[in-house]
Amino acid sequence: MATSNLVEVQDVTFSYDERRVLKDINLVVPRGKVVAIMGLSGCGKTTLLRLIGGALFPDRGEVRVAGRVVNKLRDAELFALRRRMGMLFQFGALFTDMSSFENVAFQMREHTNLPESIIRDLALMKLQAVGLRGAADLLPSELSGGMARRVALARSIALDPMLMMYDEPFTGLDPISLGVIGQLIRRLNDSLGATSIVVTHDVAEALELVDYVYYMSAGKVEFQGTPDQVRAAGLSSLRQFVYGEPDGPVPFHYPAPDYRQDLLAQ
Amino acid sequence: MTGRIAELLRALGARIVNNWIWRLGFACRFLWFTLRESGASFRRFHLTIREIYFTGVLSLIIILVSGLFVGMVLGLQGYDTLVRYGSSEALGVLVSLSLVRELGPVVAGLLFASRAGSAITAEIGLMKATEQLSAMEMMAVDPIARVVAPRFWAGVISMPLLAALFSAMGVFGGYLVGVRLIGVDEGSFWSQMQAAVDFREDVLNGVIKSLVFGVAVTWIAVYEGYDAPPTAEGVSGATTRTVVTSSLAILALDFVLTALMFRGH
Amino acid sequence: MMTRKELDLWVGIFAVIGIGAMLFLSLKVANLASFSAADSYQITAKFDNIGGLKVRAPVKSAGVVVGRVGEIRFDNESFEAVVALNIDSFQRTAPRRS
Repeated sequence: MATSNLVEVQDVTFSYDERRVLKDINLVVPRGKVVAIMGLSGCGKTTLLRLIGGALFPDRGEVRVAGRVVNKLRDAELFALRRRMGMLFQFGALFTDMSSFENVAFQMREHTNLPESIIRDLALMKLQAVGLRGAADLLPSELSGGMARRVALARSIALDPMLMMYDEPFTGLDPISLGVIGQLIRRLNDSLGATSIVVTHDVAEALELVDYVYYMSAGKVEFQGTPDQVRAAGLSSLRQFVYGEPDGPVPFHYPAPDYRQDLLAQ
Repeated sequence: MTGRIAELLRALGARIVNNWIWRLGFACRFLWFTLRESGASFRRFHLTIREIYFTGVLSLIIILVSGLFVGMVLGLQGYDTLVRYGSSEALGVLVSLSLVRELGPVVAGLLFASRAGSAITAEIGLMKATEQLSAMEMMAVDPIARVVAPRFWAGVISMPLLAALFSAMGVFGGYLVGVRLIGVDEGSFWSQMQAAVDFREDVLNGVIKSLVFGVAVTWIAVYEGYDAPPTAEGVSGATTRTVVTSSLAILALDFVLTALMFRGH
Repeated sequence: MMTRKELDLWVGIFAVIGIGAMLFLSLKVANLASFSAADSYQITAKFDNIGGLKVRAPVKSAGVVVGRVGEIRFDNESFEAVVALNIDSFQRTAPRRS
C-alpha cells in the first residue's frame, strides 16, 4: 500500500532496561522530503533511528517503513529492507582494514553478483558524487574527519537507497566540511529521489537544509514544523535550544545543595 | 551477624549468576550462531585465508623460536637428569615425547592465546566500539558471518599446524643440543625415539589436543571481542580476559585430555 | 594492505610447512612408516590371561619389534584368550611375547 509517508512511527514507547527513552512518539516522514530530528543529547534521537532501521524493537507501538511494520519482519525480509536503506554513522564507521574504494564497493560485492569491472565503475561514481574519487586508494586512517565522513556517505548510497538516515552528520566538522556535507545531503536526496532523516543538534545547518523539523525533549516530541515555524516558535524550551541560551527550561546549574552552605561546610 | 553473612552470600551468588552463568550461556549461544553462520567462511574461503594469515602466519616467528628454545632446554635438562642413571641415549625419547604429547599443544596454545587470541579480541572489540559492526548490520551483512566466523575457523585451522611446528622445532632443538653440542649418539637419539613414539598414541593425540585448544582459545577470543563494552577500558579488559581465560582453559583441558588419552600406558 | 595473491602465498607456505612438520613428526619422530608398509603373516596364540596386552601392542623378539598384536578375542569353549599376532614377513622364527 503506497502511502505518501515513507516512514511512520506510531505511538512508540521504548525503554533501555528500566530507563524510559521514548514515550508515545508519533512522527511521519513524507516521501522525498528531508526531515530533521533535533534535540539535546540523550533525548532519544539516535534510538529512534535504530528503531526505524530495525536494530531495536519498540516496547509498544509500530514503526512502519514503506508500509511494512519493521519489528514484525522476518530476518530475510528485514535484510531485504535494509538493502534499501542507507545509514551514515556519527564518525563514519568505515571499515578500517579496507581502502575507501573497498568500503564503497563493500555492499555491491556482498549483495550483488555484478562483475568486478562494473562494481569498480559504480564505486568510483559514488566517490565522484562526494568529491573523493581521487582518495579511492587511501585507508580510513589516512583520511581527515570530514573526508572519512564523505566516504562513509558514498558507501551508504552505494545501492541507491530509498531512505537515508544521518546520525549527527555535522558533529566535529570544520566549516567547509559542514557546508559540503549539508549540500551533499540535499543534492543526493533530490537526485536519488530518496527520503532523508537527519538527526542532529546543529541548529543552523539543519534549519537551512531540511523541509520539516521534529524537536524532541526527554523522549517526547515537543514541537514539529517547518524551519520558519521553528525559528518563530514561542515554546521556551525550543527557543532556548534554537538560540543557544545558556539558561532557561534546561537549567545552567546541575542540581546541587545551597551554595553558601556548601562553601561554609568543612 | 548471620544477617551479614547471608547478605554476603546473596551478593556472591548474584555475582556468580550475573557474571559467570549469564556470560557462559551467551557464549554458548554465540558459538552456536558462529557455527551456524559458517557457510560463508568456506564458500568464500578467501575470507578465512585472510584471517589464517593474521592468526597463523604472523604467529610463526614466536612459535618457531619458542619451540627451538624449549627443545634446547629439554635437551640440556634432560641430559643432565638422564646421565645420572646412565640413560643418556634415551634423550631423544624424552625430548620427543614431552613435546609431542604435552609441550607442543600446550605451550603453542598458550602462545597462540596471547598473540593471536588477544589480537582477535582487540580487533573485534574495536570494530564494535567504532560502530563498524552496527554499520555492517545496517547494510544487511551479518557481522557474525562476515567477521566472526572466518576468524574462528582460521584459529581452529592454524592451531594444530602451529603446535606441530612447535614440536618439530623442539625436536630439532633437542637434537642440536643433545647430539651436536653434548655428544649423545646420533643413531640412538633417533632410533630410540622412533621406537618409543607411536603415531596414533602420541602424535595423533597431540594433534587432537591442539584442535581442542584451538577451538577453546578462538571461541573465547571471538566471544570476548564481540561482547566487549564499546569503550577503551572495555576492550582492554576483554583482551586481558581472553588471555587469562584461554590459558586457564588450555591447562584444564590438557589435564582432562591427558587423563583420557594417556592413562594405563 | 596485502593483495589477495600475497595473502594466498603466505598462507600456502604456512600450510605447507605446517603439514611438513606433521609429516616429520609422524615419520621421523614416530614410527608411522615402518609398521604400516610391511607385509605381515598372522599367527594365533592362546593365553590364560592376557595381562596388560592390548591391540597394536608391539611384539618383540630379542628386544626387537617384529610385529603388532592384531585382534584379541575370547574363546567361549576353552575359556582362553585367543590373540592374533601380525608378524612382519621377513621373520622366520615364531616370536615370543616380551
